[in-house]
Amino acid sequence: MSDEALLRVAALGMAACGIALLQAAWRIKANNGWRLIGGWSLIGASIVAWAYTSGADKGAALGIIAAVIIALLFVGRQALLAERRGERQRRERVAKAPPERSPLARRIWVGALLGPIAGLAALSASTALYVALIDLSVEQTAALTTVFFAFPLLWAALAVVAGYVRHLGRKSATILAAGLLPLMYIFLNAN
Amino acid sequence: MSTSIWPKSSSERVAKSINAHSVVGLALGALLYILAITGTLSVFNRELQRWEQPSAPEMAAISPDAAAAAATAVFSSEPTPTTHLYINFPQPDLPRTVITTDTQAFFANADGTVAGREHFPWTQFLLDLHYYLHLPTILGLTVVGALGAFLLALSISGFMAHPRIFRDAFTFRRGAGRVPLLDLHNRLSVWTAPFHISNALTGAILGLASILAFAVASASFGGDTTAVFSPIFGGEPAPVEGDAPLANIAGPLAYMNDTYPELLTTYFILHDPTTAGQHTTIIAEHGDRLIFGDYYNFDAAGNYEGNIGISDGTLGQQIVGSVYNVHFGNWGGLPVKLAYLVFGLALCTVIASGVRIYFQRQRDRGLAMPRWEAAWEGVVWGTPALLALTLFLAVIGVTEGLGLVAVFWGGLVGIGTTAAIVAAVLPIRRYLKIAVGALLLATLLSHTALHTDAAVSTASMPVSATGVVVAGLLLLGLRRQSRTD
Repeated sequence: MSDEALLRVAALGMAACGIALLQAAWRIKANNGWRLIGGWSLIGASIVAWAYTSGADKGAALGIIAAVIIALLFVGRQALLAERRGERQRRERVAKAPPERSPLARRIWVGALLGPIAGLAALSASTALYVALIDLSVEQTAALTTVFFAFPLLWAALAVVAGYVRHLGRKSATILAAGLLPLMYIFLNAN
Repeated sequence: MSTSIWPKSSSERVAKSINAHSVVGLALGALLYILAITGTLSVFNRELQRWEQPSAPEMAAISPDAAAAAATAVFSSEPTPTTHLYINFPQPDLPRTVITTDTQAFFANADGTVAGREHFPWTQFLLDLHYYLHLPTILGLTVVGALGAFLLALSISGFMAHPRIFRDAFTFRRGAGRVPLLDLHNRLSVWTAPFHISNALTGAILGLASILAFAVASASFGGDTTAVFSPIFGGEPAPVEGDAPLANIAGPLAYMNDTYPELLTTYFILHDPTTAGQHTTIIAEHGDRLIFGDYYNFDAAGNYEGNIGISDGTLGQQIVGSVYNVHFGNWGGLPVKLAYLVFGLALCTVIASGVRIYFQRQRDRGLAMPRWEAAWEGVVWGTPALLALTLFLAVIGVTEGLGLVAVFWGGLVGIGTTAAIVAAVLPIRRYLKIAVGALLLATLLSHTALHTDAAVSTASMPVSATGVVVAGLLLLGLRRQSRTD
């Protein structure tokens, strides 16, 4: 077996031990600090080993995939060993919750807020971010890459705000401000 | 006394996060589910292309002279010169050479002669469904990109809604009702998070790049969107008037083989052939990298002019150059594709179970929604059934293109509506599972009958065998369930 193959086998072993330690840590719930640190450290070391054998970017990605597959195997084993329990308590707890209803107009407005309006706000904020980064003399491809990632992340965050905040006025104001303030910045910067 | 390191969660925060999670999931669950299924299948689009045309000429490599001869023959055969002439080179998962112009594509034999026309209607239908949801290009890309952003929103709100996300990371309870479904949803969501977050993000980046470029161009480049991308991917030189003999094609290919033997040439592009401004670009893959490759430019005489820098340029170029491969899983051979299959199926399960959990919770509250619940089951099992039906129709040659689009979307509306009228989840699920299995078997039988000469070839066997296994598992599973019931 070549050195690379040996290192990959060792990386798989480290990932498996790391996940086993995390499982133990989360089962006992208290005084589990060393298990948590050990678990995450082993998974991190396994990813570093993959990066060493297969290139920094591709190897790290392979390491993450391997760790996820191993974790799924652990969860699958847990599912096979699981006992039947816990149903009645949850059912009773849910049954006490009051039904939620909201007017149609409000639901349509919330839909518009988390969809097109949040999208336009994220677009405006991302464009303003690009303009600001260029103003700060950030290299152009770095600025472009930053906003390529920022746009969907901002849209996602604003969509969560639209669903999370209960007060309609507050959520509307937050999302509209997130779009209008960057737009003002772009306009002022252009003039 | 032992102490916990876990912070106390606020029940109000959890309730508000579940609300945010439900709003997005219910509004867009069906489209996200269709994207998840088609995305999972699209990982194998090259295998599916081979399967649709199993008799096409295959080769591990083609010589520069043979590739140039085939490209020249196809170019010369067209009455109106194409603006771009492409050569797709053989790759391990698609060992074929294809010459493409603006309007058509032909296979090349290893000796440089031109073989039959490339034609994979169902794989194209599948890719168009995943890329654009069959909408016009820019609109479709933007809608799909937006759905990627909403999948990210679901991940964020899902994590916020789960205060014991780490403590419960290995919990899996069995029993009737909502608990096992919740555990399935939560465990798969948490452990496949690196996949579904990176996939949603890269999908959103790919889909939303056009409108972001438009906005950035308006703010900083006087509306010139090509100027936005050129620092990363290189710019296209302005066309130069005047005629010229066809550019040197074999020269640049031989240069790449000789100078960069460690790279895999995947793609050749001749821009503006037979004009004074014609020039060529070669895309070559770098083995141990996530990038899709780098662009290597040559002039019309075949002189090397340098690479764009996706492999060794700025960090921004290298990150953006990795987005496509990270999304489609074609960067690590079959093992990575199989991992993406597992993660893709997990994402489909997460989406399907998420909406089912909502309906079960409503039922527990005394607010049962049997029609909506059955309609959702119609989407969950109707989507694979309709994909199997369109595959069958494409294989037997009944329809393709818009016909397949009409069958899929019309069928989905029909199944959803019928399921809502019937309002019975279990029979809907059962009949649609039978439909998936039966249609898959019918498709495989038809494919074998139509391609007897290539039925056991490496182009046919992997997909056919997988299809038989999937159909068998579905039908045997139903039989076992009937006995249990």
